[in-house]
Amino acid sequence: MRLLVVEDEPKMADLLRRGLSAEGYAVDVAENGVDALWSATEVEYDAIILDAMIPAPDGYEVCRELRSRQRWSPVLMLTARDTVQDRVHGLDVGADDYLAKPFAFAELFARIRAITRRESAPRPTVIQVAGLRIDPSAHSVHRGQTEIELSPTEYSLLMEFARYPGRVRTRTELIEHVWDFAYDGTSNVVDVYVRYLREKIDRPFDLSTIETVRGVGYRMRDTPIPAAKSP
Amino acid sequence: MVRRGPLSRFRLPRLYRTLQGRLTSLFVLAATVLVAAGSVLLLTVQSRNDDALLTKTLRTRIDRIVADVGSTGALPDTEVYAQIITAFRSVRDLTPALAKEYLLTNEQLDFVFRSGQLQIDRRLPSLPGTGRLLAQRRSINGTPVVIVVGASRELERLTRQRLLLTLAVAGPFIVAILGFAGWLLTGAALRPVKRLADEASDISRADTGRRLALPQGSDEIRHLGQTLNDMLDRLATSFAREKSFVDDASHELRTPLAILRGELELATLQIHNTDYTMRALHSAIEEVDRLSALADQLLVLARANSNSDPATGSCVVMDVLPAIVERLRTALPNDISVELRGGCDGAVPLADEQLAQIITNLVTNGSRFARSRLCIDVQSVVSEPPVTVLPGRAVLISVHDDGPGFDPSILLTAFERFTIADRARTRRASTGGAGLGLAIVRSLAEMTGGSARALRSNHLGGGLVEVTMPLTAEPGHPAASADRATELDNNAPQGHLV
Repeated sequence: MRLLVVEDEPKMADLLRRGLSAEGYAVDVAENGVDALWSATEVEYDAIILDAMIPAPDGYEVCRELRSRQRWSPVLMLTARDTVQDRVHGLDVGADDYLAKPFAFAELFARIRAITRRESAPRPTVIQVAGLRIDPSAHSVHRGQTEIELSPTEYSLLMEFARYPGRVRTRTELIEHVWDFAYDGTSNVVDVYVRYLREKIDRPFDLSTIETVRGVGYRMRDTPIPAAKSP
Repeated sequence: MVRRGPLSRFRLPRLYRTLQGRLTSLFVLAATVLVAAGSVLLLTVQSRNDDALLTKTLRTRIDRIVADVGSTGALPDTEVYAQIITAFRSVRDLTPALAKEYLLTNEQLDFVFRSGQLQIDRRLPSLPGTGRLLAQRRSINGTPVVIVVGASRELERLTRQRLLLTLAVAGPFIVAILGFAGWLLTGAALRPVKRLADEASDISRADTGRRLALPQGSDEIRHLGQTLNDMLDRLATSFAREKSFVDDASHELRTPLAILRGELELATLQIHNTDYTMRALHSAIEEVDRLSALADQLLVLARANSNSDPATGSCVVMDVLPAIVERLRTALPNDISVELRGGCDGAVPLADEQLAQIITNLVTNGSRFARSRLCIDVQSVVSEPPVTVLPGRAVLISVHDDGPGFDPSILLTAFERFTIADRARTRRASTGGAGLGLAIVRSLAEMTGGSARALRSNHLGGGLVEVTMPLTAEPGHPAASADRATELDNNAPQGHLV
């Protein structure tokens, strides 16, 4: 496993390098944001340990930039900034984990093991699918420049479709993921909410994004097609 | 128990609690006064006009009578209320309604013959209400006669009554309409203010980036919004500064702690590797030293800022300075030269260590930016507020470096605690600084009643920090007054450096 440590304090960087090497990782060190971006773009690291307060661009900016460059290496922010806003900000710009200094090496190792266990699939902070732009941190949905207001259930259903575009989702599957145990209805509710959703994301734009797969369920198209003229 | 004045117990009626209510009430009051005054004026003018018109009509009737009687010998057909009386007090001609009595008494008749005209307002026989008589001396075919005509004023009275009634009904109605218009108008004028207030109360501390939407144009509301936005800008700046202070402080305090903890933890994992453990322990000791230094600096700052004890001590500047500079020369990297120029007589109200600390901090700070040269310039000057608290002799210590100079963005905050210049531009990694050095310099300087400021060096082209501190006469050294004259020449503090 090869890790990138981004840390401007030389002693801290050296300490991390020693500690992580002892655990059997190959460690590269970058001292500032520019070097960090360069290294992370050149090499597909297994994980990046990123300090927030580094010479510009700062850690948050580096993380955002990496994700926008389609680099999906797991990022662990390791920083002295520990307020809730800082943690939320860090995670929302695309970090996978957040650990405040001072930290215990045992915990750092465990967290690195945890984030490297996960598949390094693309995990964009803003989802773009079928001409829709979904920003989970702002809970907002846009088609082009138009913002679409969705109820929490509609939003949740849309997210469920957007996570697996092009794949057929059965009514049972959707019920299981969007509704909780407290819901004790029939699968008819899915049809009702799919209709609501179409009313909001398709009808005003004369497009068709969610198609019905007869007898099975629904599927979200990768790209929307113009709506068939209603009879 | 808070004593309350009699007024505080009195609560204004609901309407008057709003500006809109008060303005509208005032407006209604003014409208009432104006409408009432207008009505009175109208009534007066109307009654005067009626009066004048009546007299004129009566006069015209007399003219007509004179003309008709002169030509045809009979009163005009249209005439209904007239008498023609001869000089012998006999009625020569009259209208049927007046057959029974004379309209004028003998005295009145005499008066008319003498003076030519008489007008009397009184009840007239066989006419309703009060009436008016007009008598004029005229001559018909050469015979002098008095012609008396009369008319009822009842119509006039009725007209006036109707006008009064109209005004009594219409006046309040007009006032009500004006009041309503005033209410709408003040409402419309105040609506943008209310909108601004609502919007401003919506802007919380969380979204400091949000600003009030300003209306177009350059009116008062826009001005108000602009003012509020400027205030929000200043608040946002101070919030940002506060946040960056907390961030910087936590970074400076937590980094050594994190390293310390990490070193010790790693050492426990490799306890049998003696070399490794030794290295870790040395590193840990370094971090403890760093924390101790930080704690010392924070204590110096806290003491200097507490203001509980004013500056005491008497440190003769030129006795102490060369030794400090010499010590610093050896401590600094070899590629940086330190030059000490000028001098002054007198002492500053500090302990020797405190002056040493100021010089050390200034030089250490400068050495982080300097390429090769540092210059410490000492002059005695005559200083005035606000540079020093009291006017008088002072020492100006300027430390110049030939580095890149202060970033304009940091000039204002250079003396704040934990302010660290752009990390990419310093050699902080090798020299280490928590951003407290200049904060301590300023605190100590202010403790003596002096000040410190950062600017650009014209001498070496890099950064310049100037510290001004008041001088007290050097004990047992009378030279202080002798060199006063030369100091005054030196009045421009950094004049010769420019």
